[in-house]
Amino acid sequence: MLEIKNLHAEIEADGREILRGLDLTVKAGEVHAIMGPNGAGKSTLSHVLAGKPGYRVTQGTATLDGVDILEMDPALRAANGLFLAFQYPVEIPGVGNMTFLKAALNSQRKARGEGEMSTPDFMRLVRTEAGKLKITQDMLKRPVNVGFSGGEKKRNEILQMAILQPKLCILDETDSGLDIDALKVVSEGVNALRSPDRAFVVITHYQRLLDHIRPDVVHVLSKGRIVKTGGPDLALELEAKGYADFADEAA
Amino acid sequence: MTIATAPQRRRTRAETDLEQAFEAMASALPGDIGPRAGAFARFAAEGLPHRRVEAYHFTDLRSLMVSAPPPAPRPSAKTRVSADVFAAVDAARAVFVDGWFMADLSDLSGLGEGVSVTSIAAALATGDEVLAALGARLDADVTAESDPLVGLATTFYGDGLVVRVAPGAVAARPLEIRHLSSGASVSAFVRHAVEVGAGASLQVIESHQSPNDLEFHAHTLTELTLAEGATVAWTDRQKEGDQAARFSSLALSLGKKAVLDHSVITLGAKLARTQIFARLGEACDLTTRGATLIADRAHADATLFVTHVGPNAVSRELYKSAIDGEAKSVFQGKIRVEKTAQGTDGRMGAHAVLLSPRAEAMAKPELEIFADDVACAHGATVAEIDDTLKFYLMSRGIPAAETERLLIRAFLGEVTDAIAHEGVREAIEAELDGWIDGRVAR
Ligand SMILES: Nc1ncnc2c1ncn2[C@@H]1O[C@H](COP(=O)(O)OP(=O)(O)O)[C@@H](O)[C@H]1O
Ligand SMILES: [Mg+2]
Repeated sequence: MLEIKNLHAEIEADGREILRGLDLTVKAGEVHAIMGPNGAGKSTLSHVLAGKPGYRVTQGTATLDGVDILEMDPALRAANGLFLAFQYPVEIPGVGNMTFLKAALNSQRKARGEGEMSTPDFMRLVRTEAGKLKITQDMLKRPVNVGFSGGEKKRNEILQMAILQPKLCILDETDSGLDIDALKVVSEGVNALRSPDRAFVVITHYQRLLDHIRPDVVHVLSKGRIVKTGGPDLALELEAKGYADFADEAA
Repeated sequence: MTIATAPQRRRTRAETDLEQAFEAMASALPGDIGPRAGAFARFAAEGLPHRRVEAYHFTDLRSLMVSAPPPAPRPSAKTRVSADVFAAVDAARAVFVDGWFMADLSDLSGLGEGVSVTSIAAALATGDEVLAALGARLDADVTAESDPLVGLATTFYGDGLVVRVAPGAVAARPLEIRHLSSGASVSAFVRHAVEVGAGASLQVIESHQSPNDLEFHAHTLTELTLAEGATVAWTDRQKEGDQAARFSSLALSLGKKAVLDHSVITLGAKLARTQIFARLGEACDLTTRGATLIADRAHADATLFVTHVGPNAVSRELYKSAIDGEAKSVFQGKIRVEKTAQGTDGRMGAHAVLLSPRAEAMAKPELEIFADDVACAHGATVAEIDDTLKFYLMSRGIPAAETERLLIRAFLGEVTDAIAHEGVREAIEAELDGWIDGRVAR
């Protein structure tokens, strides 16, 4: 599903190279965890895949179901099934959460040549998914993420994912800032979305999340490269030994 | 009639146009010529204001107002006008074309007991006592009285409305005042005087519209008085044509515990200036909000002089502009708190979002405080559309143009959401959407 080959990317402003020849292949139905020290480039990878401005890809390719996504604008990548749950979701004053969700869903459907979802169907969908994630009516009525706690923002990310039903879900440190109850709610939300034709890339610094979202493959990202790949045991090993073996100069 | 001129300076084309118009018309202008001649003499002594005049520093009319089309004659009774933005709103309607009240196009019924609406042209013809309402606000406010645009409207006005709401009366439906154009290249001069009695209430929906590619100058001078405990909601929306100029002056007086909720939406004109001269009495409440959306080489100015005279009054001024192309928005706001105005609570904000690299915004909020027990604040910001927010929205599949629409609407929402009348609010929101969608075409 996702095929990254020899990806090099740098910070546009200062030309500092962060991703230095990264390779990663994720098949449909799989859950991959990416772990690594702070500053290794995990968020950068997620940003480059989602098309965030401020980065320059200098070499390599990234394809989603065989289609090159690096040339697409972020909206088109999303319509093609890519979703990134951000490490730091932003607040958008003045844009209601419902207005936003509806615009997102219908824009994607339109880009794929599907019809808009009717308002009653949309309301029903949001109510069901919000209920599962313990997102209140009040949170739905407020502007996007405005006044939300850290945990509420993360749950709101998973709500968007549940509604948009992407093919490839990238979760960037979704566990940070969550207490154990919130972590369970979020993990259940993610697990409910697991399916043979959907894939997940779960970026995390800690093994804890992987007790709840069981990965098929675990990678270690260090200094902008995947330096080790293994099974779920690798996460336990890292938890025990730390990242000392892979220490980044920035960490 | 001779006009005192400063011999050392050549008049601009627009000044000459105005002088010639006054000389040609003076003997034919209806009513008492005294106040008109006085106003014009004051105007002519200084001429059009320029950047060395503080209140016009950012809006130099000597260079921006190139010429002045002739004052509009009364259009033929057969003039047709197209449907208006507020057509779906249930309201009594006063329709003006080129500044003249058109009785045949208007419907003033259903305002209810205690509300009277009179055409100034008709009153001038008969010397009606309602004319006493004109000038009362200006006499009390030297800043307003000495303003050159106020002076021009006072000189040339031919028509307008005197609206009176008797003490305790509640207007049964809104009064819409529509200002339209016949398509002629003229200057329209309108004067309104609105007096709302103690405890009375009124809702006014004002609109201004003229076609593109027409040099049309629209001058409006409105005096609005709220007696003790009166309540007024006033929404003013202008979408003049792309070659038009609009000059609106609003002189306000709020009595004890009066409440005015005012919004002005600026969507058009090549050159626009909205000025408010407010005098606030005891424990009254003034809110005025502005939303300006301009593009191309338009210049839109909102200038407020808010004077707290009585104690414990509240004033809120919030002006927002979205500026595209090479357009320029100007905000000037001065809150003055007199010694007598202890307990004043004033807050003023001016915020602009620049939608193109050549768009410009100027903001000059000021406080002048002579009382010691007051809470006043002001703030101004100029920003571009936030890339981080835009990316977040796009990352969910919302295309670039739509994200900008959402973010511009969100930015202006504080102004538009506050328009209490649902039909008016929806009509204005539809126009904002139209403007934003039009950006793609530009
Ligand atoms: N937009 C940016 N501007 C400047 N530096 C950045 C930016 N994004 C990431 N970096 C830098 O890139 C490096 C990797 O950061 P990041 O991808 O956030 O690491 P991780 O998520 O693995 O902790 C860090 O040194 C960080 O400071
Ligand atoms: Mg990170």
